Amino acid sequence: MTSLVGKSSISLSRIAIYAVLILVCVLYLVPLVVMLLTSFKTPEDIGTGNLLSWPAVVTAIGWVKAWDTVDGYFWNSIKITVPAVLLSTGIGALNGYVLSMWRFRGSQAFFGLLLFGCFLPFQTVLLPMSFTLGKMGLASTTTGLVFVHVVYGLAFTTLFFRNYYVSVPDALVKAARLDGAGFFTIFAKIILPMSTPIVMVCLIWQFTQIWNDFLFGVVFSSGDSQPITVALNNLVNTSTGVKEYNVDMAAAMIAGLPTLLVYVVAGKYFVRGLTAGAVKG
Amino acid sequence: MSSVAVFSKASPFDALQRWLPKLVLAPSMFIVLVGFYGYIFWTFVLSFTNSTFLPSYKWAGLDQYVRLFNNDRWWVASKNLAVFGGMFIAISLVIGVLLAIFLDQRIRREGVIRTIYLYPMALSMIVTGTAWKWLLNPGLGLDKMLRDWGWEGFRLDWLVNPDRVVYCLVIAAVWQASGFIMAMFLAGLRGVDQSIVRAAQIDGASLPTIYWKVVLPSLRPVFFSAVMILAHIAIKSFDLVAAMTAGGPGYSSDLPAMFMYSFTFSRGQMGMGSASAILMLGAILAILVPYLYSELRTKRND
Amino acid sequence: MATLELRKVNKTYGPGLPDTLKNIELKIKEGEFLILVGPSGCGKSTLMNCIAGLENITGGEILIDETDISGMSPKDRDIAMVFQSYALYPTMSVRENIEFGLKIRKMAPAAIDEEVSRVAKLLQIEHLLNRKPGQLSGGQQQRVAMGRALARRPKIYLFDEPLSNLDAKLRVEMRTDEVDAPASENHHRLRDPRSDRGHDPGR
Repeated sequence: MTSLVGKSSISLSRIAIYAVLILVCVLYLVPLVVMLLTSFKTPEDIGTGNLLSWPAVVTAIGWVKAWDTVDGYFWNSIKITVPAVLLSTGIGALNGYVLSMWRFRGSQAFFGLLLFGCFLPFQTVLLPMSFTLGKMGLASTTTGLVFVHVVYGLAFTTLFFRNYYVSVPDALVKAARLDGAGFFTIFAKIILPMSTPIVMVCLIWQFTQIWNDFLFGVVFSSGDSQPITVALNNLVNTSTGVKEYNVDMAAAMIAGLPTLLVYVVAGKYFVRGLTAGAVKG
Repeated sequence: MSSVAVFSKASPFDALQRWLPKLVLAPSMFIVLVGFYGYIFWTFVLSFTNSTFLPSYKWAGLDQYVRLFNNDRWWVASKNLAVFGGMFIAISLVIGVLLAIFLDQRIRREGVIRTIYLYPMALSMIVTGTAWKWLLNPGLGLDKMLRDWGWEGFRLDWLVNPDRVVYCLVIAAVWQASGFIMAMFLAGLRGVDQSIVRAAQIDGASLPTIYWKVVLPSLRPVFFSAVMILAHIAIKSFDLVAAMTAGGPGYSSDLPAMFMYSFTFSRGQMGMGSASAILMLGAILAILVPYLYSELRTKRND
Repeated sequence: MATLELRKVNKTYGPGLPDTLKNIELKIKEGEFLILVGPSGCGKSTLMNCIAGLENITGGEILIDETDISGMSPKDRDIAMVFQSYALYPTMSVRENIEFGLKIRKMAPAAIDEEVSRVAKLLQIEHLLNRKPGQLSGGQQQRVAMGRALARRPKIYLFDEPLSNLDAKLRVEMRTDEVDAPASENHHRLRDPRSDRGHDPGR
């Protein structure tokens, strides 16, 4: 830490620093607070009050109406996200395992290709993918979206696991091979048990990416198979009728709460996993 | 383990084991070759055809690119990307670095503060866009709040002002991403070699000078990574535009990603849409290749 | 009980690269103890890996008890190895570490328990059986690694710089133990030839 004077003095500069930090905290929290406040107001209240005014009457009608509207889409998101997260993590783990411990000719080149895939602008694959989904009969289905998310999540998940496993000493795999263990036994009994930190990282990252996705959702699904991000956008951006901001904000909260909760609860595992080495001492 | 061997007594189990790694990787290799590179090539091909609602494979040369070039909306989108991208990257960097430096000063409750700065990253850009669209609502949003608080006559109608609407995008994006940049730099600062800092302190340099002349320059790799990530986010920005402005008013807040979606899927202009996607890829490559090149060069010099 | 013979063993890592192992000829009799000494990079590890089957040879033959095993996978060669870093399985207890190879070979549980006890008693690690490698000192880990090798009662033991991670005093103790252990019931029953590779800069 490059810090100021060694003593934690109550100097003017320290007060200034704390002041700035706290002010910025407030600024960061304002949107969230506003969303919450607005969601518990009535439309009339919204018209008369302002962003940070306390509701005249705290009411949940916004939430009820929002849930009514996005209910099915919320479950769509679950149906899409959970399988996609599990599949892409599992495949990424196996890939990372192969790329770091069972290298063969061409595997490094493949890794390079995969790495570049992390930077891919998805606009370049949208059209071909929609043709493909159509041919597979998966157009406008949640299964189709699961497929898409697994395919395009592979790059990151493989990267995570491969970089983690690279720090596992070779000797461990050698010892296991001498003990008689084969490819899958080594993975299941030795490597996987050591993988908890990176599995956490991968699960959290993929959950956030997939739940929050909008592009794939809006391109590859329609009507009943849409995820909640698409539903939210449709709700908020309809130009017909009277705008009900309380409903809009409640819907936004519903869409945002899962990833927010994951972040608050599991965030530290994410950070820990990123900085953990595979083998301690 | 790739040399030719004297395999006199390999059992079937051994043969399977030798092939297993390749078998396991094979599906992913297939997916990457087809789903990544194959599809890019397909889009590339489409950009040279005259596809509209359906793909057609009639050669059209550079027609679609010319049409893009002559399309005002594409120019607006590209210009917006430059403005949005530039401001977004610059402001996020400044805020991120400053916050990181402040947090590096042995702050109590650092964990809580960091959590607060980072939580926006957990949200979908749609949620962020929706929230900020409301905050910046002309008439009911921030301007009403400030008027209620005493600042009479305050108006904030950037969201519906074609000349200012891009700034709204910048605000929302910076809110979302600067916490992450802060986290990157905080990690970087924590890894700085303390001895050079101490040497500078002994030389009598003040803390701001130390940061400016000694610490930050040593964090150049972090700067590059941060710029890369921010640029990547900027180029791919679609969700944010869709939620906040849908490209409006008119198409004054359009961005290339939005343009591509619009023309390909709503307006039945697959050829043009493909061309725009390829140009977006070009933009990413334009940033990625020099970065990788400089990375490899520094590695060789080490 | 086994003899180990290397005939004209060659190993190259690729066409155009110089031979890492050139025409190695070696004959180790039953119960013999061979120590390989040499500067870093001279190929000691490669030779060990080739004998163990962890790497393939590009020419020549390796014979255990007169049988050419050069095509066999490591698990079929009945060789145990103790690594410089001990390579203990970090998420398993000491007992599970020792049992691992035996379970894979589908030994009966009662027989496995017996082996573990025997080995633990021999190496004085009985009180450590339920601990994880991360909770052990260097010397203890080394003994567990040995125990893992001994429990399998292989035809051949390979030791790759087994002492280099210990401090000098411990090294002297370990060396005498290694000589004593064969002299005890262990060697009586097994009489295995061992290849031991040493590299001791701080003598």
